[in-house]
Amino acid sequence: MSKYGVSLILLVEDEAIIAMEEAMILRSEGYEVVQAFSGEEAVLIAGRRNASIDMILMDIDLGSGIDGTEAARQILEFCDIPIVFLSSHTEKEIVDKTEKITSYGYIVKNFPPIILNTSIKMAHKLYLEKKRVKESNDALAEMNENLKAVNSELIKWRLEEEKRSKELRESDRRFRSIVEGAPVPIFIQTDKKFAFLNHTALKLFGAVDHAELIGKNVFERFHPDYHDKINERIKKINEKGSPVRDFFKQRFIRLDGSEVWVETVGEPVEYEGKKGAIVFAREIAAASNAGDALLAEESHYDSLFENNHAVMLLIDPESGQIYDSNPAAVRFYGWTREEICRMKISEINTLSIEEIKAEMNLAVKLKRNHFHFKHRLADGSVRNVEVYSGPITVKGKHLLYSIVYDITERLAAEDKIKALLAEKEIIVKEVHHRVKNNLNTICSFLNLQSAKSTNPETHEALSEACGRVRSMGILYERLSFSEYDGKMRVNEYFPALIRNITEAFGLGEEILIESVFDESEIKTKTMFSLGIIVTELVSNSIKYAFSDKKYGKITVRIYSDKEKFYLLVSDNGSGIDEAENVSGLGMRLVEMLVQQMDAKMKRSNEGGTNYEISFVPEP
Amino acid sequence: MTKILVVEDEQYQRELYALELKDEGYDVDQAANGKDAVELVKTNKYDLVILDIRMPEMDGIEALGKILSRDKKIPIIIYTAYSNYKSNFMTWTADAYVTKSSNLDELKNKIKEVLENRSKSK
Repeated sequence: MSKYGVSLILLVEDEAIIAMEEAMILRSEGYEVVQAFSGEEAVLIAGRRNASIDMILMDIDLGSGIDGTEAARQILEFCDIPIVFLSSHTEKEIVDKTEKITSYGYIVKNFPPIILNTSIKMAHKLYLEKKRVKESNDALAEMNENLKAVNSELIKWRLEEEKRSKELRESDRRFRSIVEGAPVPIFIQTDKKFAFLNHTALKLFGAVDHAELIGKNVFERFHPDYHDKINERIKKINEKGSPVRDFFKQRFIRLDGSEVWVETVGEPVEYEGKKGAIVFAREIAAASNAGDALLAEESHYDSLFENNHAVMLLIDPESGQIYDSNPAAVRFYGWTREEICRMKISEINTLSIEEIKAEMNLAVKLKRNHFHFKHRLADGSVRNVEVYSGPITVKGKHLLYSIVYDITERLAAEDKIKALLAEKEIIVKEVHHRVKNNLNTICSFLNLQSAKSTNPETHEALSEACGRVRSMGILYERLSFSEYDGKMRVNEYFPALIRNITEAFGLGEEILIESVFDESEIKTKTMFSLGIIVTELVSNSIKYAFSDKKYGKITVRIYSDKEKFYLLVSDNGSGIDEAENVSGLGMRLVEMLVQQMDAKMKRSNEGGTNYEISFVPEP
Repeated sequence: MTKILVVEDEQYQRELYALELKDEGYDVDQAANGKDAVELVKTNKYDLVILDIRMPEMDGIEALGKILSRDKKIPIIIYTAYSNYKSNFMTWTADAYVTKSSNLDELKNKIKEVLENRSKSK
């Protein structure tokens, strides 16, 4: 018969009557027992039967021969059996002596069966764990290596990301300088306010400095006759995201109050994180000379298309024929400008017509202003690209412009990061699991120690310590199951904690704990502190509040509003005597944690003891 | 050749065992008490020890302990007239326990069994 994986126990005890009694307890608990009456005998029996003995219970003081620690040392030289020491002594030196040997625990004699069983069970688990740890240490070392790789990969990615954003800023700057210098009035409005104006636009409005217009309502500069129509056009741009390309004749009001006739078109644009419209204007009077207008249009085209560092294509929307490509496109695709201009876009885009349609539908659905395609280059390689597309009129032809960004490396990096993050999460969970196991082991040790203590104060102190450790253990258990993002939901942890407290105190019907937790998320670090605070406050209530009452109720609530989190712990007991309790370790702990969390604690004695702790959570 | 040590204080019995075992093809040494047996084990390598319990000078249990502390692995058969006298220590350290009788067949069978088990476990 085997219990907790242990069937045969070698009991080493020199006092025959005690040995008999101990053997009897062991047998009645279902173990098979071999007895040795001296250290020497124990060594010999272990030497002959080490394959079948699962555990040794070793008395330390063994009379005239070698003592238990020496016997244990000799046995461990030739075989690996978990040894639990028995003694009536609790002197430190003797305990220390056993610690020098691979020890699996220590039981004081006159043990009740429950202690014996727990010790045996734990020693066996420890033994298996040690074996497993030895095996898993190698695995852990490997994991560490992986983790290092993950980290260096992350750093690399961050550096690249920084480089990319720098490039982005650069291109942004370039764009600005192009637009800024353009001889066409261009301005951007977001939320119907001026967000950007180029030089020519400033001049058109009769302003000298940007400050005169930026942030001001654009309607102040539009003649009231056109406000309704302009509102419609803005609506079309904002809601449908579609450009308004028909030239709209209207009058602008300059800062000096004079009016100027203009024609405008607008394109949707995202500027500084806001959606708005970029508006191109031209003075009608000044543009009456057709030659000038053409010239202006061409220089506009040159500066926006030719000199742009973004890859740009102009496509005939009817035939798919490429009409023109800029130097950046020539560099990117690897064909000459002439070669590109002889191609159709379908020769570059490797997706089928169905796939292209599907992607376009998807873009509309997701409200994306760009498409994801795969483009073929001259060298045969295929790149993932983001394409920003829109209509444009060049020299009287209605064309489609496409701005092409190569995102192949970004996608590859994103995939890699995703995989590495998933791996990291597994490792983190494993670590949490181990921490949980360790905490549970510590807790069992404390419990054992507590049960063996005859001093009520020590007993209580150890039980309290055990409660604190267990409350952390529960948190880690939840952590090892939950997705890791450094945060946890309140109702994932606290119900289990309250259950644990109820069980630890063996609460029956006389004390009722009512608890309400919402779904708010808190950082796990804060969760630790809250867990201990709840454990302490509830324990205090259970211990002190109801000494003169038969029935009691304790309420625990955690909830949050927009700014703060609140923890309420209240009971309907006799209330706390100010002087009492506050000096206890539990309350000191609570006060320390409250301080650490930068929280506020209020206490009142209305109808019992009430604590309210409020704090602003870390982001 | 398989070497056996017979430990028995009665000279007549001891020599009878030795003869019978030699007939079985074993090489046999003899000791008249525990003390001599321990001395012999110190200087010789035996494949098996057959040990009586009640002996003058040093009894079987003490000798068993001493022999085992010299050689943890040595196969041992307890051969005794006391069928009820089984100490815990003997049970868990000896390979077999045989009660004396006029017929030596049981002992011979046990010797074969123990030796076979040993060579198997090697």
